[in-house]
Amino acid sequence: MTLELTGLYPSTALSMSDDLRILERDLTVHVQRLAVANRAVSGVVVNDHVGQVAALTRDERQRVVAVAREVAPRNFHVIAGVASLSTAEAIELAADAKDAGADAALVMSPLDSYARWGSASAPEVPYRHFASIADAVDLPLVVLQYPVSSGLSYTTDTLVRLADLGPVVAVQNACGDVATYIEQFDALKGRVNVLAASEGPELFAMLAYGADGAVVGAANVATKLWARVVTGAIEGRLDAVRDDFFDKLVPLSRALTRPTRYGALASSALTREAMVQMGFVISSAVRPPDIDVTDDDRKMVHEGLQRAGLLG
Amino acid sequence: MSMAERFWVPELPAGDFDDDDYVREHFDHYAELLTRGRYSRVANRMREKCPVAHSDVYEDGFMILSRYRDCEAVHHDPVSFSSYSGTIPPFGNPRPSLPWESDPPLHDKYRAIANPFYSRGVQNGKESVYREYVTERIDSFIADGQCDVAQELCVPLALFALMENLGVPESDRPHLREIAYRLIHKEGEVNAEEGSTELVNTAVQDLYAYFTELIRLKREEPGHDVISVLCNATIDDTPLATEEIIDFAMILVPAGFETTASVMGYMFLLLAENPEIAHRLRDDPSLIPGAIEEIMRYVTPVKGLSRTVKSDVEVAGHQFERGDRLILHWAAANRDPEAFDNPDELIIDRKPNRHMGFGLGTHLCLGIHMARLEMKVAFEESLRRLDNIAIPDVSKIVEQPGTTFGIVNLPISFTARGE
Repeated sequence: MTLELTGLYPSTALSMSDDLRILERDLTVHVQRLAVANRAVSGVVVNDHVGQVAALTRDERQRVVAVAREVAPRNFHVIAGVASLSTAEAIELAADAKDAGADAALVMSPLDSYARWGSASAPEVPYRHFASIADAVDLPLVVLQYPVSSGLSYTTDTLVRLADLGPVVAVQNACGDVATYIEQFDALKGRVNVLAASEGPELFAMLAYGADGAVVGAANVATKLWARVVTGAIEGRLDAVRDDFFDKLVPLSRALTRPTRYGALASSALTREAMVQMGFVISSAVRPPDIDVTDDDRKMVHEGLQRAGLLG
Repeated sequence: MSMAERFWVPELPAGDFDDDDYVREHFDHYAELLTRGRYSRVANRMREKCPVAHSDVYEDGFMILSRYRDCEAVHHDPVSFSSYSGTIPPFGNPRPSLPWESDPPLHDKYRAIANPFYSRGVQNGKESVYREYVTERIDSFIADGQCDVAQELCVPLALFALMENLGVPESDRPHLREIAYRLIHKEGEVNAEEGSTELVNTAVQDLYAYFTELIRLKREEPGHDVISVLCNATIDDTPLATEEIIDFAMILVPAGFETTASVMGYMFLLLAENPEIAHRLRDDPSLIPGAIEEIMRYVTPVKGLSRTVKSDVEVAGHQFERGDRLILHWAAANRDPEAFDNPDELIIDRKPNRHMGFGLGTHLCLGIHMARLEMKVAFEESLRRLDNIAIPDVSKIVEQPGTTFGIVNLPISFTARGE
């Protein structure tokens, strides 16, 4: 596998109508916008948590990939989330993604549920899951490393085992803990690329220590600024981007993630609301069990966008 | 007529734009110094000296392609070049205007909806309505022997045709007319004076609100108009959302009204300053359609539109990278001697005449047949009824630069011809 994943990958939110149909036109336009926002935006991640993958049917997941692929320029990567608690279904989903034109599959844990059974205690489970997909589908794979706080994160040893599977080209490391990230970055260096992933201030330290790129849900808005900051931090120009990161992007991210209320890496609803307020899409509606935004949420998102300099 | 008495004088000094080094790096396609015909002279020099130029005037800088063949290549490559956003700097609309700022394949689906309505056959069916309106307008000023033809014929006709096609009820027309005037008073993105940007912004908001209401009306009582067509259309079995229809309708105002009014203004200006052309066209009205195309080429009121690079690509020996912005310099391409013989001459029976005045390729102007018909009717009726068209005082002419260069005020004198 020669796919080289570097740069910024916004984790793409979907837009849905009031009756909760996917608005393909909004997705098309949004991917188009992201693709030309900045050269450092290397692609998009679709069908992950921000994209409400768990609430999409199999057909819808494939359609989302196809729509993104159709509008994405050459060499602009479309990375498709593959989320299933069943390995057999994950293989089918990965095959669907490949058929729809995905460049890679972002494979989520087979233990990705709210039960928090602790994948670290059963490393053979995720390994067999990944190995089976790798055997069955000819598609580059990206490992999603979960936040330590989720109880689903893989140990460093497990990550290295997964990285050594032939089709695995990158780890999207959302461990959320800088010390763990550093340990895992060092262990993975030279094996696969590492995409730092976080919606919090720790992202700066992760990028500064080392990363090949980043996956950021909040980068659905302020994409150009995110691209400049991520690139600058990875390249070591920390002084040049520090203020923009902490003064603008951290408040923006904080406005788009409310773990106590939404319990997700980044809230689909809040991200969609930000896109609505920017005028990018026409609806912030989300499918249950996610919760639609409230007036307070709208105000919070508005303030976050203002802090980022996006709204007057 | 001496040079001093003419308005269209390409030889007039153009300040910094007469300096090759300045133009190579700082060209401003909205500069007021480029009015009165100077634009094409400067554009010609750009094409000859720096066919791939750079400008640092707007955004983070952008490239300018001036040769016909280079612009043509980009027009025909929507895979590498996105049409969003369509101007530099952008209008500021967060969602692409439809269909002109969308890319295939979505663009093609939108065009497939609207193309039949704007086809030659459907539009030509409106000729008698336009002719009646033009007759009324000329009736209103012919006895005076003078008029501001821009304000009393060109702008009203373009606005009338726009509202006819949108299906705007008679009772709403004064309201929409007032919004449209505010919208084109000054384009907010260009050398905006304090206050004029606000004027445009409120016009945009009012237009958005108006179209929301018009769409609601057309959903209840469809008519033979483009809004009704859009309300009843589906893409992949899904009806268009109200916001999509608004994104479509919003651009129809400047695109379907300001551009046509501008061309007609230049048309009367060139007739007045070149009476031999008026004589030829009056003697042989069959030359009028060709003359309209030639004026589009010669003046090119929309000097060019922009593209954004989607995939790394080489054009004219220059390596463009994803995210780069560029302008396709139609005004320069339309004077390219590689594409046109004697390009700086106004030759009303020029053939062939594959100009870029209406764009080119998949984004060829949606309203091309509507615009041609309006101009043809205005030309025919004016030449039939008005003689000795002249400009008493060129200092009274107001030409406005912008995305569309246009003649805002054009006081003319004339004699009425026998009916």
